[in-house]
Order: sequence, then structure tokens, then C-alpha cells
Amino acid sequence: MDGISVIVTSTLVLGGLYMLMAAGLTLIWSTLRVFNFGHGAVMMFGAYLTWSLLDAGGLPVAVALLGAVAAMALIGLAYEFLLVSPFIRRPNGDMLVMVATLAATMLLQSGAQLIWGPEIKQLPPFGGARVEVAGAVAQGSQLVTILLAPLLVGLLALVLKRTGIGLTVRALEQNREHAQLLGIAPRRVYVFVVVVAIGLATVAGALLGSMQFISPGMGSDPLLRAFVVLAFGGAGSLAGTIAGAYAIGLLEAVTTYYFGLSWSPVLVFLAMIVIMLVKPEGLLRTKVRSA
Amino acid sequence: MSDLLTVENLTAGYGQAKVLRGISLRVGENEAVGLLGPNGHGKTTLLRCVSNLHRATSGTIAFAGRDTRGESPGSLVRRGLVHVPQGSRLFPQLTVEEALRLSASSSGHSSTWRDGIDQVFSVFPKLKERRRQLTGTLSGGERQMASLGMGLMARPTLLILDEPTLGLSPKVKHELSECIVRVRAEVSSVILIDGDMDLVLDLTDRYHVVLHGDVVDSGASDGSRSRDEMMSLFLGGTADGRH
Repeated sequence: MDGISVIVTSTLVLGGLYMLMAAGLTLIWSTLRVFNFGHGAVMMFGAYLTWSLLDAGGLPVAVALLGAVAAMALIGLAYEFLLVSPFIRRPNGDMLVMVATLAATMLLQSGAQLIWGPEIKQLPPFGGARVEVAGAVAQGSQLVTILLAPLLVGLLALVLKRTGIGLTVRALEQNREHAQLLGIAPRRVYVFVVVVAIGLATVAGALLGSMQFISPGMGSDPLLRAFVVLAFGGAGSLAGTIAGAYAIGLLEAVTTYYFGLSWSPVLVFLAMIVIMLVKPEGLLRTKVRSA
Repeated sequence: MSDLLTVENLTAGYGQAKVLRGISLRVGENEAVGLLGPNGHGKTTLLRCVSNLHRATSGTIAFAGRDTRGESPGSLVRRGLVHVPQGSRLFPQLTVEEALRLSASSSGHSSTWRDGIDQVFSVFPKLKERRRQLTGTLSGGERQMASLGMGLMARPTLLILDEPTLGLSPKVKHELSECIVRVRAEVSSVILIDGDMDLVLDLTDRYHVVLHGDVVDSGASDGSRSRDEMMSLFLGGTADGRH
């Protein structure tokens, strides 16, 4: 494989992982006005749960992932119940929730350390399929990530566009007070949004856990990258998130290939700072929004 | 007795600033009540308290015979108390039809939203032309129509209209007033606030003048009080020595 094909494959894989993370963050941001610092830890916890179902339960990896998503959805309910709803309606409630999600990060990381111990774990690849297009090769979990991530996020966009709950979510995003006057209960939207976001993060965790190792700190890097994606795509727009995820994936793939692993994050964050200075509403925000 | 809405001794404010000072008000069934008075004297705050968007400091509010304390705005909507807020920018990224459908479903009328939308389009023919347009691209008058239409979609028994003609040109205002007359015919009870005193007096059965967070004058909207008397009430608080 030459440089270009390596870059193409890793752009699509990284873009996929980041969009799974960033889509949930965007959804939570646009409705609750909260940045969920716990998202990386949730991703990590999802990866561990998948591993447990696979290892202890002896389930096939895809089934284990589905089980983990279901289990994490319950954790999502608890997350909303314990961290969001007690605080969100207070004055400066969004700040309180943000701090609560920081606390959740600590709790989940220590919890994972206690439950699963310090040994490194890894999930087996999701299937052995291998595809080669014009020299670019993707196989196993890479291939699944490349296909599944845009599929799931696209599905989410469709749900938001076409279903009743989707309409409710968009209304709350756009005008919270008027939405309440129409009879929309913000709580139902919060539950929906948190559960969906955590489900997507679980998928990202399991996919990453089959390509790299699972450890309590594995979620921090993807969380930071997803944060950069939000800055690029403009928080609050799903189309911007998808485009932003691929943009950051590409930037990271290119910088890693030409400048090495240690320089890549520096350049990615440098790019973010420049974007925030020049176009704080997000690179693609206006274009996407008016489409 | 058969009051639809009863507000008693309501006080409310924002932090240190007291806005409502023990205001009382009632709206009967099949009755339209107008609230008059200068801006900044508590009319909107009163309505925000009534629909539970803002919590009163003391006093009671009852709607359809039940105390509304602790009730969510959504629950009030489903009981028929529908509030069309002042100058809402609506939902810029939703189409007119989506916004109308949303109001039907969130007020518990999703199964009959098509009947509702036909009714709304007959009151506001212009909305039918604009049904596929994003509400963020509507003109001021059309946006008000959409806002009122959303109110109708919720099948209100008490419809609260807060400054529906605010900021509209005289021509558009006239067009909208005609629509409001038609809205009035569709709904049992109405509370109307508007800067246009004549519009309020034309459309309502009774009026209250709200000044410094309390009612300073009330009466039938039959023109028994002259426009000049009203204006001096607004300015001085004591129109003609009767208070």
C-alpha cells in the first residue's frame, strides 16, 4: 500500500469513530446545552461490557455488542436520572450538569479499574471480510467501522427528520421556551438523547476495542477528537458533524503519515484553535444549516 | 363559580425586582378578557405565571377548577390552556406544516392533526400557501399567523395571546386582526394582550388595565370608557377620580 491508500483507509476509520462519538455529543449539546465530559468514559465502559459478554457469556462479538448497547442504554437512563435531571432546571444548571459529567468520568474509570482489573483486554475483529478499492485496503473491524458508523449516524439523522420524537428533539433545540408552551416535556427528549448518544458511544468503544486495546483511559483521546469535530462542524448540526468527523480523520491521517504520531495531535488542535478564531460558529455551520 | 381561570393575589418577580403585586383576575367560560397597560408593568409576567413558565412568589392560580401549582406547562396545554407567546421566533428550521403538526402531537391530538390543520388553513389561508416553507423564512405577519395557528392546533379552551400584532406594519396588522377575529370564533375563552387598544376592546368582553403589577381599572369592553380616559389611566394610574 502506498501513502495515499493508507491515508484513505485511516481517514474513513477515524472519521467513522469520531462521528459516532461526536453525533451523540452534538445531540446532547443542542438539546441540553451541555458538553458531556463523560462521553469518553461511557465509550470505554461500553467496550469493557462488550468484552465481558463476549468472554464470560461466550457470545459472538456482534451479539455481545448488541447486549452491551442494551445494557449501556440502561446506564444511560441512570445517567440522565442521576446527573442531568437533578441539576438541569436550576439556575446555571448546564454548568452543574457539566461538572456532574466530569465526576461521572472519574467514577466510570475507577469502576472499570475495579471491575475488570489492570490487565489489558482486546476484542476480536468484527468479522474477517477484506475489501480492496484502488489499492486502499480495509478489513475486519476497520471495514465494519467504515460502513456501520455513517449508517448509524445517517439513521439517526433520518429519525430526527422523519419521526415524531425527532420533530420534538429539533423543536426543543430550536426554541426551548416555545417548545414547552406547546406541551413538549423536555425530560422525555433528554432521556431519548442521552440513551441514543450513549448507545452510539458504546458502538464506537467496541469497534475501537477491537482495533486497539481496552483500558480505563481509552476514551479520552476519542473524546478530545470528537470535541474538535464539534468545533469544526459546528455543534448542533448532524450534517456538520459527519463532515467534521471526516475532516478531522483526514487531518489526523495526513499529519500522522507525514509528521508522525506525536505531532499529529498538536497539529489537529492547532487547526481547531485557528478555526475557533476565524469561524467560531463552525466551518460548515451556515452552509449546512440553510440546506 | 364557572370560572375557567382564577388568579388570586399573585405576586411574582425576577430576583429583587417585584413585578406582580398581588394581582387578581378571572376569566369565565366563553369569555374574552383583554389586558391593557403600558409595557413593563407585568402583563407578560402574569401570563408566564399562568402557564407555569415562571413561578409566582405567592398567590394561587386555578384552571378549570384545579390548582395549577407544580403542574408542568405541558400538562396545562393538554388540559386546554394554550399560550401563544410574545414575539416568538418560532422554530426556524421547521416547516410551517411541521410546526403545526408538532403542536397537535405535543398537546395530545396527534390522531386528529389533519382536521386541525384544515381548520387552521381555513382561518389562515396564507399558511396553506407557505406550508412547506421554513418558519425562519416567514415574514413577521406570517410568523404571527403560524404562531396563532400552532395555538389553535392544540385545541385550546383558554387561548392566551400575548401581543399578536407587535411590530407589524398597519397593513399587516389589519390583516392579522381579521384572522384574530376568526380565531376568537373558534375558541371558548381568550386572554388578549395587545398594544393596539382598539383591537383589544373590539375583540374582548371585558378588560383590565394593569399598572405597576396590579389591576387599576376594569370594565366591559363596550366603549363606555373613552379613549382619552384610558390613556390618562395608562399615564397617571387614576383616570377620572373614581379610584
